[in-house]
Amino acid sequence: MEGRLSALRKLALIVALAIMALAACGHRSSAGGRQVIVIGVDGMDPNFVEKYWEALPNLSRLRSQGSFQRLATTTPPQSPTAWSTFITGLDPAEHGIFDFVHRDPSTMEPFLSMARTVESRFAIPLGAWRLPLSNSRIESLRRGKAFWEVLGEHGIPATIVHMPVNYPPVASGDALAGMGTPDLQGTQGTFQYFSDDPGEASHAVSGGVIAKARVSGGRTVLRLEGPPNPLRRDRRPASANLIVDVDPSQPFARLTAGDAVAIVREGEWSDWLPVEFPLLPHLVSVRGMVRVFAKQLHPRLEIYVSPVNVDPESPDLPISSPRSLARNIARATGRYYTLGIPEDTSAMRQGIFDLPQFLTQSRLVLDDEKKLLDDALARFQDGLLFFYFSSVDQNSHMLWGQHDDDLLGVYRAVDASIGEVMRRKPSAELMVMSDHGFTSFERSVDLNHWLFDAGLLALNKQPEQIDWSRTQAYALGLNGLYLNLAGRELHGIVASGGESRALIDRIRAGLLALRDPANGRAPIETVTATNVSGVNARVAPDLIVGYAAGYRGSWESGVGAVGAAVLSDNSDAWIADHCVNAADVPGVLFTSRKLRTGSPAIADLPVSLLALFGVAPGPGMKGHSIYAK
Amino acid sequence: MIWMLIIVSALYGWVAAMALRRFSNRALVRATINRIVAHLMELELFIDSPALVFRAQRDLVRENLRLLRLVLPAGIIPAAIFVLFFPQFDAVFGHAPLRIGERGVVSATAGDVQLEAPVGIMVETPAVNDVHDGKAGWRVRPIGKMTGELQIHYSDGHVVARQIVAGSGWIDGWRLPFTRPAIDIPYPRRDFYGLHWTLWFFPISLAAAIAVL
Repeated sequence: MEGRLSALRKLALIVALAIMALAACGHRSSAGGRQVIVIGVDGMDPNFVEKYWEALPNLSRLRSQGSFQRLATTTPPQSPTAWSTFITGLDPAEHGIFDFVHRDPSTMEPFLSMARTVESRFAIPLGAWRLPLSNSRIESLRRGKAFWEVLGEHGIPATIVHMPVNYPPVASGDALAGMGTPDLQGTQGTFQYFSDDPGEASHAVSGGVIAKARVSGGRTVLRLEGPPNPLRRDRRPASANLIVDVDPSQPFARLTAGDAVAIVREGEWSDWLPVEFPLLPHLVSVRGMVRVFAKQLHPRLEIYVSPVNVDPESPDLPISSPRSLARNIARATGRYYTLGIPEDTSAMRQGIFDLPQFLTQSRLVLDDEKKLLDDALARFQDGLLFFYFSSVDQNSHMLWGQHDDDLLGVYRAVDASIGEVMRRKPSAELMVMSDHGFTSFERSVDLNHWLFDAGLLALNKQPEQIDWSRTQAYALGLNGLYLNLAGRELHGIVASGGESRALIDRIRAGLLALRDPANGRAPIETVTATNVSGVNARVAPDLIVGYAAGYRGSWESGVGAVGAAVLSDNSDAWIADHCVNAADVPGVLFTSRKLRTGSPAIADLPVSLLALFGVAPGPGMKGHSIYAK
Repeated sequence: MIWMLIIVSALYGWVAAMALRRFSNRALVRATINRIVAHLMELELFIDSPALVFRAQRDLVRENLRLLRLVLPAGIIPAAIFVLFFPQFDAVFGHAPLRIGERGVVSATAGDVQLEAPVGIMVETPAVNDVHDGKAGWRVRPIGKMTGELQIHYSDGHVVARQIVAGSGWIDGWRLPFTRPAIDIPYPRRDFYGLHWTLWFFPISLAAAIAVL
């Protein structure tokens, strides 16, 4: 009996010690109770804000209590580029992100610039199947150290929600990935639209797929395309069924995806439906989730299915750090958009959504963002909290200059969230910033066509493709122009040194001399040589083209193709942009602390945020603290 | 809830141990286990004599079958209990109450039907008919913590009912094995620290049984 009691005492002692050790491993912060909150509002424009101060009471209050300034952005003023500079304090030549799209000079194939999947090198082939011997991994292509990693090294906790170009999230603090996070298909968002209209043929469009639906006895089985199957040698996409049972006498439908069931009325959105895509039947599967929009149920069936988002309740991709964070948030708030750019502008550009339908979808995204902000504020104790809103940027692309009232509605919603932050964390140091502003996109400039006219780009006749053996320069992305450099490009013909410098001078002079016959304006204001050396030289464009306000690179040049004319009207639903001369689209910077008037740049912000915690700038950071006396 | 699962698992282990003690010949079981161990040793000892290894393997199979026969009558009782109570266990430990504010679909056999929902449950749609499967469904949303009874009235006077729980509380999982409830309620799945409840249940009951034996 004595022995047993002694053993019990020892056990109790061990348990007590373990609990104390666990407690010691818990929240330990060097932030000293200091709270710094940064609200990143992609695309918030200073001119728009100034026009509507009265409708934006919280930003107005922040301006009067603290300060408001224009924030110089990066060249090019693209979101991945500017946010990478915000994260690292490095310029694009150092962090290596110049556009959404880069090209591999060894294959001349374009690829997404922010992250890539490294497949398992070894696999055992088994008929149509292949069994990889190790997991594939996803790696960020952005170089440089994130400023919150530097904070972490000093024991200052950071919560980073939806930071762009942070996929997979750096393993420091709590982070939810943002722009750059793909859908389950590995794209930046591919919707699926099903219609039983006999005039509608199945085909792929930019940002989506249109497919035929066959209704039989009130039931339609829609085949949802999932991720390419890594266990198949042909990588045929995995698929799952979404069953739509339309009520014969009412405008309602029952949606079934596996065990998940939803009911939608015509014109209504479903909640998130988890969908399981089998890779090896009954053995291996991946989980995603979709939202369904019942565009029409009677007499025709028209069903929009969102891109397959990673399911945060069971994430199969690294969308958070630690990995359990995404699930913990989902349990507290319900499922939420995990796709990096969740507003489906492609569906509106393809005519699937009309404006009210796009606005409704965009509102769903904003509701999710508010839900996540609420959760982040509830969890936030001290250190740094960064929270990102995508809605202003994506709505500006579709509404700017033509639907200002609707755009103002989005600004007001973000303003209300900022007011909520000020109310709930009154003692926190607050910063509201954007990566760039906005301008209209009325005329399109096709750089590749201009190069063709200038004799610097040649085309094969059949099929019409670029003839690299006779091409000296080409455009790809929305601001980038590359020389076909010998020794770098697969079929390079331009020698580096004097020849390339002369070519750069010729292109720059020619582009700056270009005039728009429609109005006599110069469509291009700046042409900047990047002069990148080191590891990023392979991906960096040689020239960055800064368009005048109202102009932008053509969609064709954006993907490396050649458009029909150098200058043309923009007839797309995408009516505004920011991929112009950086000086024309500064972002905004609001601070709760009064600042001297200056000329802050986005590279100054990471240095400033570190300075607020008394931490010296991280390696290579270029900026200066805006808080310096 | 985890404590309830631990108690139920331990109780089940105790019942299984009692059944084993009462309905099996422990001396015979022990002797059979000893012979199995002996044959395993034979495999190692006579590794260079294929004939002896084959004989040991044959004996091993025979003794294992004997052991199975000895413990089977005792094993039937805990197995039957598990089968009988699985729907209840799964309802209570495998599912969580409806989340407040989250929409779901309750379903029942189609017909001329009317849904009567308790206070705290908002019914957002009329009965939506699924002609293909002969089901009627309603979209519902709990607007607060509640426990009540959902009733579906058929035009012939027939009424089916089922308890509905939102926010927190016990889900009434009582029903006969291999039957489905008359009303499907989409209770979300629940796990315990990322593991299905059965992955806690069996190790705990096994540990409890060993402790008792």
